[in-house]
Amino acid sequence: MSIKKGLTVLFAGASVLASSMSLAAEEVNVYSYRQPFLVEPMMKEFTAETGIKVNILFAKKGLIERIKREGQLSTADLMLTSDFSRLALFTEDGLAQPVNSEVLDRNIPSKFQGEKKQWFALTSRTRNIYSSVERVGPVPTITYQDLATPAFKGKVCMRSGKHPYNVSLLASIIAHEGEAKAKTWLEGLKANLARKPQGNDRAQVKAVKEGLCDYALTNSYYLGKMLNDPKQVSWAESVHINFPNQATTGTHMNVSGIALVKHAPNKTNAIKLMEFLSGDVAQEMYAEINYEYPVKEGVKPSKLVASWGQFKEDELKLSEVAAQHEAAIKLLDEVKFDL
Amino acid sequence: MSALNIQNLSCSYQKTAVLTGLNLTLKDNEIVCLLGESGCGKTTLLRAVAGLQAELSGHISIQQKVLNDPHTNMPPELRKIGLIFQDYALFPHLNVFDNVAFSLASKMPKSEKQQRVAEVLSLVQLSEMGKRFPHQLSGGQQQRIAIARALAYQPDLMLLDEPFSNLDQHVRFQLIHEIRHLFKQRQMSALFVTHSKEEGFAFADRIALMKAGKIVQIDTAQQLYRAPNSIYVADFMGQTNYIDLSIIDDYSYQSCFGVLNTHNKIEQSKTVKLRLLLRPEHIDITPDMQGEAVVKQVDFQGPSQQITAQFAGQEFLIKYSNHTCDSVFFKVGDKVSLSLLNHDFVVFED
Amino acid sequence: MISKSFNPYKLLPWVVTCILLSPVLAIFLNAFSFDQSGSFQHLLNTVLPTYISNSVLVIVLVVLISLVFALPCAWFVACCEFPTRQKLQWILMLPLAMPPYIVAIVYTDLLDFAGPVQLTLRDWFGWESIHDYYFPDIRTLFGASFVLALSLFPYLYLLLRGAFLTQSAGLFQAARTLGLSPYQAFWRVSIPLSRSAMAVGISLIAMETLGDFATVNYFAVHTLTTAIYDTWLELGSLTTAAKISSLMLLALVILISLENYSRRKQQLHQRNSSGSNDLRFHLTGWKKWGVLIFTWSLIGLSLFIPIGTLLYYAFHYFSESLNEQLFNYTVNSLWLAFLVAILALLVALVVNFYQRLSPGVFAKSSIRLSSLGYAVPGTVVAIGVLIPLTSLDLLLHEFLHRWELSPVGLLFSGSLVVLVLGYLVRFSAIAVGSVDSSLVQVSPSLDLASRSLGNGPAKTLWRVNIPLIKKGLLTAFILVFIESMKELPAALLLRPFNFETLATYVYQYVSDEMIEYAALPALMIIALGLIPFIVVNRLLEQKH
Repeated sequence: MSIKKGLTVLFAGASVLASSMSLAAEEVNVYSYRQPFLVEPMMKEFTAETGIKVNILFAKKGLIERIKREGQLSTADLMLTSDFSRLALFTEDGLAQPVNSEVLDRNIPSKFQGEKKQWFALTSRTRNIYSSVERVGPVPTITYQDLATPAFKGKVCMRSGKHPYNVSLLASIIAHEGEAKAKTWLEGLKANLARKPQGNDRAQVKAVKEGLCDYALTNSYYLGKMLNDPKQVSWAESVHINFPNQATTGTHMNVSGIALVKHAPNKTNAIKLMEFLSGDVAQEMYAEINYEYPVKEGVKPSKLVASWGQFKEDELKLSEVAAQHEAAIKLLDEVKFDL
Repeated sequence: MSALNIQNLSCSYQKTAVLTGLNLTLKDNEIVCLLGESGCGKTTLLRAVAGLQAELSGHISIQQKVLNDPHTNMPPELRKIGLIFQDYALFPHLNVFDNVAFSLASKMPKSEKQQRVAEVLSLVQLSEMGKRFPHQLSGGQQQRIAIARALAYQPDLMLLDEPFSNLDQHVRFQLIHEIRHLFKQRQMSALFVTHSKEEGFAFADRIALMKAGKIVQIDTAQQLYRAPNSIYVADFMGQTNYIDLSIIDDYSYQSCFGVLNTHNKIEQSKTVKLRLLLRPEHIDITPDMQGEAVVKQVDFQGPSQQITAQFAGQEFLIKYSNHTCDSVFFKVGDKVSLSLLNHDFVVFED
Repeated sequence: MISKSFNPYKLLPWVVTCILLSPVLAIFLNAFSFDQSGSFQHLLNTVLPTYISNSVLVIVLVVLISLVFALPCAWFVACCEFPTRQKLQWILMLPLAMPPYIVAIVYTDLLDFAGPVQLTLRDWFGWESIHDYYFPDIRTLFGASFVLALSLFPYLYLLLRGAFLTQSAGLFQAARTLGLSPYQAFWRVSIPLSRSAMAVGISLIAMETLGDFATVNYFAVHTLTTAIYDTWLELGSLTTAAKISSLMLLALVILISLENYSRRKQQLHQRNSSGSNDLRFHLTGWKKWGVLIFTWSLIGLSLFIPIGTLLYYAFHYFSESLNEQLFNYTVNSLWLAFLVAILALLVALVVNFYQRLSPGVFAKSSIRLSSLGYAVPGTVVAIGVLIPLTSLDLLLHEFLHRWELSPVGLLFSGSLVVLVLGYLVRFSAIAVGSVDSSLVQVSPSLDLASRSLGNGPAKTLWRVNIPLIKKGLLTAFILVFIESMKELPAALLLRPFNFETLATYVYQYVSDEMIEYAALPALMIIALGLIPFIVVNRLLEQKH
């Protein structure tokens, strides 16, 4: 008995040293693929309202793998992703658990929920084609498919094809048109690039401003971010934002989302946070601070985002896009898109 | 024309003069030994000739080729001088063959290279060692390889810096004779540095004794021993006793051994103090109960005894040969009488 | 009959090696498990050949450029005399403190089409678009290699300078008297003699390059590391990723062994020559200016330009960047790096002294094995570390459960233990190598002398060996310290909640190309790396 007692004391002491956060009562642990400054304002608001502390571990790669390894002992409660494919990967691997919450069901439309309620989208954004104000002007009729036509030769800039945003777009094209056509499109696009895929979305806009290319494939909210940055405002002003495929399938949408980890130790708090993030306060913050489209009906996008006008969304189900994720990655390898 | 001609060579290191106006000439096919205490500048002289010494003035030439003069400082690689280092400086990353072939032009056909290397390796009797690496050889073998490497270069002059000092006694003299024979056979002129006069005696034709950056005397070993030009040379070449002399007339001195007569006219002035050099073998010692000398110490040395005897208020070092059957073995305290054996007098002014 | 008593000293090196090797082994084991995804075949048919050739090219280029930088510098500093030589001797080591990903950002930012350099050029010459002029593209394989070499060359410089300094001057002179010009003697004697140092330096650089992801990725150059990340994180196949990692390691091990084998017969144990200082070549005239321009422009490229750019940004965004967080993260980084450096030193001592006390194949392989982690990309190491530690946690959990004790959660993998182990796996190689090379120079007869004077192995170690290799130990400490300050991928993935280091903090901004906000913390990383370097160097210089 004394050995057992000794061990208890020892391990209890060690665990205090090791992970003091897991002993505090009111808290929730988040693994986040989204950058801290994109989510911290909402988390701060949540703590202010509920007194529940939010611990965030941010990384761009490997979080899912870490949760997998940690298994039943994982301290993670929530997985926050910046794109849908990761969310799908996470749930497919059986790492998430369904959440039955009236609040969530009320706030988040069913198309932004997983079939078994294992994931929930929090925001959505469009994949836009920006055109140079100086050399092109607005092109409301442009399509993703146009970018692969000879007329665009040497005029297109974009980041790595392997970036989740681009993978997701390609996956949607595969879902719409089949792999063969998607491959032809991808090859055409590659041939039209002004430079090898590089940099991030902002860098593409910068390249348009500097005249390296005329069109950039970029997410919507970056334009808002850049307009708000005194150093980058001139880049943002050099481009028009266009919503592609208005006459056809509609503009490709991606989402950022959240899932409850299967072995979440702080389940109640985690669901509270999920509900908070889907509520009016957080949704408005997403809209106003991040320039994303809120998923909750009734919450308006920011004035700036609204000024870009109404547009037709691609109605393809997110799960259908996610199903093509692996095919998209392999296609990118096949045409050696980034090389 | 000479194998090496050095005139008025001066050299300083960190503002202290190491060589001061040194002159030295080597005849063709001659081996000269630079002998001296450590720090006398002998290694510096060697390095100066090899072109490895900065900041020197003076003239150095080999045959007609000027190595150093006020307008020239030929880089070492153009001097065609073989230098043997004290630690042999064999390249540890190369095997014996490549070490020896090091100086051969890379364009040289392989067969010719092999022939040249084989030739010099057989000269130093290490033909079988081509594949070995330096660390796999004994000290003596490394030394031979170093010499073979220099020979393969076919230098006009060979410089050797304390080449035998890292070797065992018995290997040393065998190697010295071998290499001397080799040099003579190949008509190689050489300048050789050592602090051991025995090595110099065995290896060199002439010995240049150095002191404080200058050559104090250069001559054959015998001459240096028998006719040193200064007390320094005399002491350096062997054991010495000195007795005071005063001049009686043109052909005789007064000393503690009585009147000493000489065939050569005495040229020193009467006012200077004179000292006569007596080598231990110049003094005869005989047991004599009435003798005025007393034995203080005896060192038995096999073929001879070295005896220290007190005489006339002075201690004398005496060499006594044991070669006859009636030889005496002296004991401390024995009364003896001392006398001078016939020899050429060497007299120094004090 | 008991021939040998059990000695815990002999077990310790193997425990250490096993701990350090377990992550790599975990990856290896994964590589041999059955792969049903077919990802490897897919890669092989598509991009893998390009990735492989890119990897090989990057490594070759980085090594070559590093040689071009380091070789002349090391020789100038060791064997020549010219103004500022004394200062250069340690300034040339400082680029080690520069994280390559930060240098990469600075240079892409400066030299990009939309960067200040090209903007200015366009302004001056009135060029309108990219088609009006030619400017070398920085985001190329060469650009990436150049930037990597800028921050990696000091490894080679350090080792080569050491080799040149200890080389017997007599050998160089012997070559001169055998008819070689200084230039020829340099190539035929100095270089071959420094071959082992060069091999060590090159393999360090090659491993670091192979393990790099952030930098090459920033230059849009895709290497085998890209393949590892793609297959594992996008296609979800750890097996394929592990296969590629294993192949990479295997290739590296083979190369290093080949090099070792090729000089097995040489024994470059040299006597220290005295007075090599007075044999320095005094450079004058154009040679002096050439050397000055070469060395100082290298310093300019690797230190002044990146630091200057960061200073510019830090100055303009000072109020936004300076906050309490920065202070906290600095403290975190500092003590973490310090802890890892101390532990790495202990590892190096244990492993190296085992080899010294009982030399043999086993001891030698323990040195080799404990260094493998260096060549594994940080993220892969991170997962490799997680595999054994989470298993350990699960075992512990089971055990506690059986004994009806309260669970402790992720005692190992959820705490800083995992982070420290991850760093150790990556950086022990540096400490082991550094201690190894300085220990080799301590003559074994000194050990024997100490033992014969009544000191046991431990006492000998403490009283004789450690004082003699103090400099090597310090170097090892600084290098591991600096590497730990810079380390990013392992830190990102392995840190516990709410634990940030300066590097992860920098990365938050850098990942969004907001270099302005990253400038101040980046400068902190550099400064904290530079300071111990300078202090220790000063101490060492004064003693001489």
